[in-house]
Parts: sequence; structure tokens; C-alpha cells
Amino acid sequence: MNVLYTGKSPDGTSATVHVDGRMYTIPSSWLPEDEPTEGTWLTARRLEANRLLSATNERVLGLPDEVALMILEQLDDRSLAAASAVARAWHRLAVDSGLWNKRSSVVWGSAYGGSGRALQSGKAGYVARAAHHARWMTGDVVYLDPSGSTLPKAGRKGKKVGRGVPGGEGVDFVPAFRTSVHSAMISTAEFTSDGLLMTGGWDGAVVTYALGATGGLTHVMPTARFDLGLNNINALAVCDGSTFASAGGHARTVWDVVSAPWADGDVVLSCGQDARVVMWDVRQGCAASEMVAAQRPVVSLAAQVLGGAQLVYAAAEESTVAVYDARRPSSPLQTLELPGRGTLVGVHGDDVVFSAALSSNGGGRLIDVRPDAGDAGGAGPSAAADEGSGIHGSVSHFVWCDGRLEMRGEYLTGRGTPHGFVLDEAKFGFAAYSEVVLWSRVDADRDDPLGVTRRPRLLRDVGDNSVLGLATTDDLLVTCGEWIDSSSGTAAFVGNLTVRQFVPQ
Amino acid sequence: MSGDHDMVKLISSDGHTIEVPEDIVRKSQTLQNTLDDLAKDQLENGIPLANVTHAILTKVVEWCTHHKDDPPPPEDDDARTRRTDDITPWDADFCKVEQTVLFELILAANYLDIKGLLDLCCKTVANMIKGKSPEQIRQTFNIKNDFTPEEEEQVRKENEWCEEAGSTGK
Repeated sequence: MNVLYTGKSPDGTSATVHVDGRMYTIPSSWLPEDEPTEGTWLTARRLEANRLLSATNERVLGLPDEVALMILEQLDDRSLAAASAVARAWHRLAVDSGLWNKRSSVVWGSAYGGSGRALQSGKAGYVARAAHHARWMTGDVVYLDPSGSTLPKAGRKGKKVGRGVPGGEGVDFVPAFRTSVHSAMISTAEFTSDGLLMTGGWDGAVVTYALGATGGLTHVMPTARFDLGLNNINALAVCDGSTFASAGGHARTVWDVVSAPWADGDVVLSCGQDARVVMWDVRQGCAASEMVAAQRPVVSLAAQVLGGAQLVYAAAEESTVAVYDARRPSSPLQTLELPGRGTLVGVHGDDVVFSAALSSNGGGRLIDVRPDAGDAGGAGPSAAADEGSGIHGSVSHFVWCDGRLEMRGEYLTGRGTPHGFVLDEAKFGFAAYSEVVLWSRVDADRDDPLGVTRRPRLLRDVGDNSVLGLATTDDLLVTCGEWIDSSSGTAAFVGNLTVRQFVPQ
Repeated sequence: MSGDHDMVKLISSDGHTIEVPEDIVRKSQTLQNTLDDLAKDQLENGIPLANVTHAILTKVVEWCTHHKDDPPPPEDDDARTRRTDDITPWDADFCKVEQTVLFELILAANYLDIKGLLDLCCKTVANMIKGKSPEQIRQTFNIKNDFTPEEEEQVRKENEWCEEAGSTGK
């Protein structure tokens, strides 16, 4: 290396050298201690050659973020993916800046929007080898079978939920990802068993996302988009790791769809505005049976295997929960009237059914109505109200006991009608309006079959306009709904998926 | 030609003063603001540029002079496309410099707010990235891979979709 020293700056702090015909400004401290004469050649050994070299090293990473983004913006998708794999700095920029999201919406909006049954990836260059397996009825329920596709796995397979609500004392969550890849409200978010995240929205699309973690921070990347050509998608049922069914509706809205736990993903149940509960045979692609109609639109479904019975819980508007045995669908085993409006049912494991209802009395406090509880007994929630608490909703839980559905407790919600619902080994919770409420099931006593503590471990206003869907893992909280996007100058409601990461404070 | 114009003195960070016609100086939004904000007599001693060396300033002036009759770049960011093949031969030749100079030029264009030059340099760097594998990009820019093996595996999985679309190699 030929280094020509040409002199110092007037203040003496920097020096100019020419290397291979190019001029560099270096700190004077890099010069040899016995100061060289201007216009002399320095040997690489005399100059701190490595430091000069390192002055050129990683210069590209030293650029300000806004400039680096200008460079990354210029790249095609494959090159952007490669650049994000070069080093942490660029990975962070490519992932956190919303570069992919912006790109995805552009690609999807122009190329694939309204393409009916087209099946494409959000990123150009990747085409999922998935196809619509079957399409039933008039677009009311769609079953997709992306098995054999190459959807990226997020490596969370088999991970057991072992902790309580990660958002207990001293823990908060940080936004890890936020996107508006749906052009309309996002109504539902689900995790598959192999760690993919999926959303369905009122734009008639289902989007899958891969989760990853780098440097302790989770990031989420859209991986595929399924345009089902339906008006609204209200629910997703994850049958197993690679298949899912979605429900939408045209004339008569489908409100919920669940996978039957007794059929290994081969049976899906759906319900809707037409007050029907239909059981579908996924492999045959046809309706297998139908529960005898409820009187009102059925808005939420849950299914479980209990003592050999295949139970289907169907929650109808105006707060009734009908319980069927799927093998004898002609009449419900039991119908329970609940107070309030709005109903949501869910199960986990053998024993529990939840229903979340909006109290009609406009107030509420935590009421334990277990038979052995001191201040209240028997079934049915108390009407006791704590006016002024500012908390308006309630969630009740039920236990199937000796052939009867018993209410075992009522727990406070935040504002509004509960929508999104989560229930797993460690926690349960739901979203209402813009709030998320989570309870821990871990520090429960033996008397409490749910492991529910009386006070929610985490109640946060997540600030989104409306939260409709909720999904969690060990350390992530996913909410979806809509928000107001005013970036274009005119405010519009757009789909909003937000992933938050639980972090210790 | 420059005789018709007022000359502005610019002082580089390494203490050199150069005189540049005012219409050339005004290609820089930063310097335009300075010129508009300061009275003439305040400019007598020149405008010090703390972040730009003489060598880089000379290059910047060279570019601004060549492009002095260009229409102002569009404000609308949405109009910016991902085309990087629309670089003129003169600009391409201008950017045939050692990497360090290129990055100095980027920093100077950013500091002086010369949108056209900044775009050009960014496109040039983007062209150095395009079509390369992560390892080739690291070699090109002398970048150290600072991912842990676990992170690298994670990133590799993220990018599986693009590897199978072509022959990016390992």
C-alpha cells in the first residue's frame, strides 16, 4: 500500500494522506510518532495501516439510518432480503423500519388485490405451493390446505406455555410489530401449532406471518396472502400446523369457525347470522350435520371432548349458550341464559367453558359464585354492581359438571363488549374496546379450577381503536382490529395487526 | 460565465477556502437557507462547513456545476421508484470513486441537503448490493458478520422464500 502524506489541517487535528491515488482525511494521531515530512511516502507499517483500512471498513454501516434506508429502499426484494442478512444494523433497519410492510402493501395492493382465488405471496419471488383445497357453498366457508407448502416455520414448534401471564407485576410489553397489510379491519388472529401467525380481515384476505427473534427482539414478517374473494372474514380455525379454515360471508355472515378436537382437524364447525351451526367434513368437502337451529344469530362457538361426549357450545346473540353433543345434534343438551348482551365462548382442556358477556347493569365487580364460596353460592351471576368503578363488562366461567353447565365465577373486563379471547395453560384473557385484560392461571389455588386469580395480572389500554382479535404465546401479545390511518391526509379505518412483546421492566 | 454571478466562499473542514458561484451553491438546500438567512456582509468571511473536507467539497461542487440546469427534483417521495438503471453516463463516471469517497459524498450530500446527489450516491451503493449474496455484500463493503450463529440461522430461515426463488447460493 502506497501512502502519500500531504500535510495536516490548519488546526493540526487531522491529516491528509493519499492512498492509491485517493485522498483520505485521518486523525493526526494515526500518524507515526516521529512526525513525517509533508510529501513523503509512508510505509504501511509506519502509518497505522490497519486503522486506515478500518476507516474504510463498515463505512456503509456507519451511515445515518435515514440514508441507509434510502439505499435499502432502492433494492429489489431479493437484494433487500440479502442485505438484511448481512449484519445486525441492516437487519434492524429492514425489519423495524416498516420497509417490508410498505413494500408488501404496495405489491399486494396493485398486483394481487381483488384477484379472487389467486394465491400469492406478499413478497415477489415467493409463490406458495398451496392451493385452495375446496370451496363450499357460496363462499361462506373456505377451507385451505397449504400443507406441503414452504411457508417458513418460526421454530416455536412444541413449545409449551409454562409461565403465568408474562405481564404480571414488573413486566410490560413493547410494540414489536405493527402493520396495516390488510386494507380493511382485521377481525381475527391465530397462532398455528408450528408457530405461524395468521390474520383474517374484512378485506377477504388471510395473511400468514413468520415470527423470528434477533437480538432479543421479536419481529414479524408477512409470508403469504390468500385472497379468498369473500367480503368479510370473521374467524380462522386452525386445524393443525398447516391447515386452516376460514369463514366469511356474503348474504348471511359467518361469525365463527372452530376445529373439532375429536376429529384431528378433519371436522370444522361454523356458525352465523342465519342462526345455524353446521359441522363440516373437511376431507369430503361437504356439510356433515347441522345442529338444530337456535332462535338467534350464533356468534361464537367452542368444542371439546368431555367424558366421551363431543360437546359443542354455541353462543347466540342476547346471551344464550346452547350445549350440544355433536353425535346427537337434533337438540341441545342444555341452554343457559346469561345476563347482558354479547357472548363469547371458549374452552381449554377438559373442563372449562368461558362466556364473556357485557353486563346489562353497566357496572360490575369480581364475584365468585363457586358453590363453596362464602359470600355467594349457586349458579348464576350476582347482579351486584360497583357503580363508578369505570369497569363495565364481565366474563363468566362455566364448568360442565354432572351433565350440567355450572357457572363458577365472574370476572371483570375493561370497557366494552369482550371480543378477542385467549385461553391456555397459563392464562386467559380477552380484549374489549381498546383494552386487553389477562389473568394468570399459574398461582391459582386448588379450589379454583381455573387457576384464576381475582385481579387481572395485566390490564392495559393498548390504544388501538378497536381490538377484535387476540392471540398470545409465551412472550407475545397479538391484537388485531382497526385503527385510524391519517397518513394519507384523509383519515381512514384500516386493518391493524399489532404484536407486542412481554418484557421485564 | 461565473462572472455574472456573485461568488460565495465555502470553507472546508480542513481549512481550504473555495469560491463557488451562488447559483451552484444554491443547489444545496442547507446552504440556500444559510444564504437567505444571513446578510451579505456576514458572508464576507465565507461559510464554514464543519463536516465536509476540501476533497469532498470539490467533488460536490463538480457535481452541482454539471447539474446546475437540472429541474428541481420532485418533492413527492411516492414518485421515487426503485429504478437504479437510470443513472446517466456522466453520473456513473462521477461515482467511480473509492468507497470511502462515495460514503463521504453521501454524508456531505445529506448534510448539505442536495437531493439529486444523495439519490445518485444511494443508487450507486444499491447497485453494489444488488444480486449479491449476504457474504458477497460483506466482502464488497468489508462488513463484519455480527450475527450470532443462532441469529444467523433465524435470518436464513426468514429469507428461505427468496433463496428458493433463485440461485442465491449459500
